Amino acid sequence: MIWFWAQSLDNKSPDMFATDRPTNLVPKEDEHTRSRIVTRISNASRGVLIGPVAGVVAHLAGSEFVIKAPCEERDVAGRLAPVVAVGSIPTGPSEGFADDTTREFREFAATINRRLLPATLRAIENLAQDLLKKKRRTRRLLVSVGCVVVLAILLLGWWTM
Amino acid sequence: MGMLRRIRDWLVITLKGKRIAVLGPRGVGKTHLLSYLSRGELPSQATQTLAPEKVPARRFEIAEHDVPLKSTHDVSGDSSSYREWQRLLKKADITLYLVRFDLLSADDADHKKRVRADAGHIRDMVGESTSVVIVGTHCDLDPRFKQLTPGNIGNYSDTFRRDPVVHEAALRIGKPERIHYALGSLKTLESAERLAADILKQVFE
Repeated sequence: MIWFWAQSLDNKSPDMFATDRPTNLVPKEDEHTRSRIVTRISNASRGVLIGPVAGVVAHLAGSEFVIKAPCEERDVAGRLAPVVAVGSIPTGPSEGFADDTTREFREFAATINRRLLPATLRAIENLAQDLLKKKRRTRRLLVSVGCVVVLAILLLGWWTM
Repeated sequence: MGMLRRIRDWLVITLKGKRIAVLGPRGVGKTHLLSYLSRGELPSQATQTLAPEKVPARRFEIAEHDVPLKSTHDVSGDSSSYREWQRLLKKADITLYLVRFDLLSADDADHKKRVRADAGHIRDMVGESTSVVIVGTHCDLDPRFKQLTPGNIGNYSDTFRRDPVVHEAALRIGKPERIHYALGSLKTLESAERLAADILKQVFE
């Protein structure tokens, strides 16, 4: 499940968040959920940086990822207005992960009346694939290190018997 | 030589450095100020800040002051980020709370309401010994600011301190001896340097 956050363009209206579906915005009164999304994004943003690709950046912290992508629109102060997403890398089958992530970005952007350039959407898809690869490499490395440690303990036990 | 200097700067920052927390509503200039303090330049392409972004440590001189600043984070100005503000304030030695003086002068109800709400939260989050500087920004958009001369700039600064919302925010945040004021603009590199010098002079003197 991917959660989204975007700041309003007038810098006055409440920021926009989505949790259960990208098309279903969190009510502005639900401060608890809004704050939970910000905290999750904040924690995952402290992870390893991947990118930028076409202005899109990603972070990976454990299984949690954050992707920040700029929209075409700018705010009243002329600043770029990004959409930020946070989610977990799937532990099981992940064939549709990159496609689903890109689709959900597009749906959230449309829900808040923003546009993402085709190059931005391609960058989101590529970064989602990179995140998967990076996570798999880390998992393989951990399994290898674990096997070596177990083997070393067994050998040590056998040697001292 | 460069390596020795970097090691010396790192030691000074570690031993004597201050960590600042730059807070305030959206679009007040937090990223611009942090960019100036950490790199000596303004962002080439401004972007709304959502996820916290790390701001590197830096040691530099400004207005004859040696300023060692520890690394910090640039955080969003949305009220949903109060928990992030709290995380930042726990580690901060100095808090800079930015408000748009042009909006307060224009009696902007949304900005006034937000500043009042922020002040209440900062009071609950800020440490007893932390210095707080209330920084008025965007003065370049106030017609009075453009007509200032060295002779009457003091009067303009007084209008900022006496502004009812600024005064109320200061009272809410804490004891008067911990509160300082600075006023200016972050529109150009020169104005950012003047504002940063004004802020740091008060904090480091």
